[in-house]
Amino acid sequence: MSDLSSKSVKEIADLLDQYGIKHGPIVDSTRSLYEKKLREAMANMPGKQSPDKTYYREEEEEVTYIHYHPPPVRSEAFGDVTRRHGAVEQTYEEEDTVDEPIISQTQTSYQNVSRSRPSPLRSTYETMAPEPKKSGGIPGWIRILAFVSIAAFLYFVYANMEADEQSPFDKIDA
Amino acid sequence: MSTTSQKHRDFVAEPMGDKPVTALSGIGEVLGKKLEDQGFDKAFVVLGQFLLLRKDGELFTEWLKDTCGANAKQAGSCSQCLKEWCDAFL
Repeated sequence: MSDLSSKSVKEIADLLDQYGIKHGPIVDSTRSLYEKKLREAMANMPGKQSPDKTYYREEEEEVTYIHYHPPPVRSEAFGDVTRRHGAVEQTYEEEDTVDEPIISQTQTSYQNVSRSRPSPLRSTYETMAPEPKKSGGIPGWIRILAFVSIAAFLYFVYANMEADEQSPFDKIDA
Repeated sequence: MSTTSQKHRDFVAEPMGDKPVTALSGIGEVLGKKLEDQGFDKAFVVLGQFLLLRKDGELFTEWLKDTCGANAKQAGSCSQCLKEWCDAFL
């Protein structure tokens, strides 16, 4: 692992990114500098590399796993995520068990997290949709009647405005 | 007003053209010789290295210290000189 000089350019670049070291192209004149910086970074934080990789891998596994399974299994999978993410995921887990399962399976944990965000919104939409039917005690037919009367009123106003030029309602005076 | 040397002001005032590496602020005879031994015989070659490091002052300073044994002050001065030159002409 510490034989940096035998690594490929891409591997060095990936290592630099993992340690958060901003870098330019890795060519002859810059390589030794970057190797030195990597050695210093590895001495300070030796274990930084692996935990991230396993983190991503587990996230990916969970995503593909989740796709075809019913909610109970999903909540368990989310439970694993919860342990990593912390308390924030708790709310998503509860919301998701109420909703329809997820749409596509594509890819990474971040997409999965971002997908779980719209679902609280969706659930609010779904709860809102049936609500107007009975909220406030206004029956549907009264709303339709009001709408029609307002539309008729507006048309009447429009017709009167047109009276100056050529109204279809008045008799033609020749 | 920053405390820049006359050498710095002279370098930043015009395109570097074919100026030798000793025209760079912070690079004197000794450091210049060491850089030339490594192939950096003209100021524009050192500029090339600065650009490869994405004009990052810290990276360039570190590189210069490793390459020719410059101290922090000299390396910082050279880095600042190149940065200002780039801001003006690049």
